[in-house]
Amino acid sequence: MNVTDLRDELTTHADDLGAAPDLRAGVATRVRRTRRRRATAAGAATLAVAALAVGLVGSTGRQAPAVPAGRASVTATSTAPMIGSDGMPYRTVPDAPGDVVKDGLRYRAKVADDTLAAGFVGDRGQGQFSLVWTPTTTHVSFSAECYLPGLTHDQAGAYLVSVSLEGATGFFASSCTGGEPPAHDLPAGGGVPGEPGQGWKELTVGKTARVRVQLVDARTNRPAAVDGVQLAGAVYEQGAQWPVKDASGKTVASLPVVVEQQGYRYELGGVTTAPLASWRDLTSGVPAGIGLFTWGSAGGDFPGSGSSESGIRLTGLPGGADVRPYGSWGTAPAPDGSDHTVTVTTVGKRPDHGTGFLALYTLEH
Amino acid sequence: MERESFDDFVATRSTRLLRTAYLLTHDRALAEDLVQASLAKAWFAWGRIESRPEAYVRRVMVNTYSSWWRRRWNGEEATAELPERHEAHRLHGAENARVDERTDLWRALERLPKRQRAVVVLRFYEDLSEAETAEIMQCSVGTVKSQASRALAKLRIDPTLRPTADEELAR
Repeated sequence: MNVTDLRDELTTHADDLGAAPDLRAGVATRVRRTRRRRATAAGAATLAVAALAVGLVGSTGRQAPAVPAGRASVTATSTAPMIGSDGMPYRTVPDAPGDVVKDGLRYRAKVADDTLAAGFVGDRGQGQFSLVWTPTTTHVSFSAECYLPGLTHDQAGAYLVSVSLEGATGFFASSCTGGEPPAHDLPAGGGVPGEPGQGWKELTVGKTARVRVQLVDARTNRPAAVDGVQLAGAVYEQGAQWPVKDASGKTVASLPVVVEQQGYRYELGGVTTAPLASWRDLTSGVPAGIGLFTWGSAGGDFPGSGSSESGIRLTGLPGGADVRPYGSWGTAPAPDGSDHTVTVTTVGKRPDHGTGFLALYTLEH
Repeated sequence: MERESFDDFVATRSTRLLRTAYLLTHDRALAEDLVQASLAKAWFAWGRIESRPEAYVRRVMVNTYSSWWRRRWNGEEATAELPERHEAHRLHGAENARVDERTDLWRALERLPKRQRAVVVLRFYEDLSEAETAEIMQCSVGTVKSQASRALAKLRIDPTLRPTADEELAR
């Protein structure tokens, strides 16, 4: 290999890429999201001051879970729910029996209808540990967090935290984060092994399972050691799921029947779907009060899904229309004051496969 | 600069930026995401950019590449157990050997650490000087030199790029 070979290789691959699509719409969407996020962050700073003034910080010595943006006029003595600047209610959730709490970090025993099967927050410098549990279901999600105090985010990117099931090949990995861990609830789940709706086929109900959580070098995937590393990991057994199916009846995505957002539970109220290939717009009435919408598409690979030229668009919620690339989905809040109807449409060229969907969640009373 | 000039910039420079992003990420969809994310960041600073907006966007892109890449990994995506060592095929025929070597080189580039890969792309694809590369990567010229040197050394000793015994004999 000489430098000429290298230049040729780079040029060839770059040329093979062809022309870029029109990125202006995608950039505009990101600018709008960033503006919204900055506005939310400004509101959060205001709330933090108000929270300290009324003693909202937890009495256990652990800082209360991070809260979203709120209005400074809301106080802890109010009997009405606290409302964030996103228009959604929020509250802190106190420790409960079964929570795993250590060093200001917490895995909650129950989040929505998901149940903590095994969770552990490692000691500083502990580069690996195992989670052992006896599955009552193969439908699980896991969390693996890795913090590297003293390292920048760039430096931390040289490491991964891997999650591997004993007796099975392959592993999942997530990159490490530089700096101290944030003092709040650790994510409940995040990785869901297995095909949608199928569960983790390597698990057997009633047979003890062991998952190893380990710090590894990102380049070689070999075990690594870093002073002060803090690892945390958890396995959650999932609550009831609602299968989103394509026209042939195959499950392309699983939606939780109950989700939790900012300390409140929301129940699935309905799901509408349409094949992307023969698309018809999806609509849903917005219930009085507060709700959530989960929307997007799934079912196969969608090459070039990062393009701004195509995707699925939701309109009718405060903040304007939002577009997601094909093959992704997520949740958007529908606060009081939203339009009466939300609509999901497609933008640009539609793929010849996949299923779009729109799900409504309503606040549980 | 006027906001209209931003749209013009996006329309005219996207392809070039996308190619650089692709050489960094080795994935077209991710490259498009990276370019869009970088342009969105640049949009907020557009009024303060007095000259060389492309250099500014390129700097944002290289820096975003590092931090944003980490966030995407946080999506807990599945990976293979261990990257398989690509064994150099013993091919017969010059054309086959050439094609195979290109594939190996692309794979070897994937194994470079991010900053070394960025230096390689900026120096040997963008043809930037060491000083220009240092400006974009926000580091010293010395760091650029050492990173480039290490990258080339790694590529040269990459097992998949070493000539096979047959090739050695043929020389």
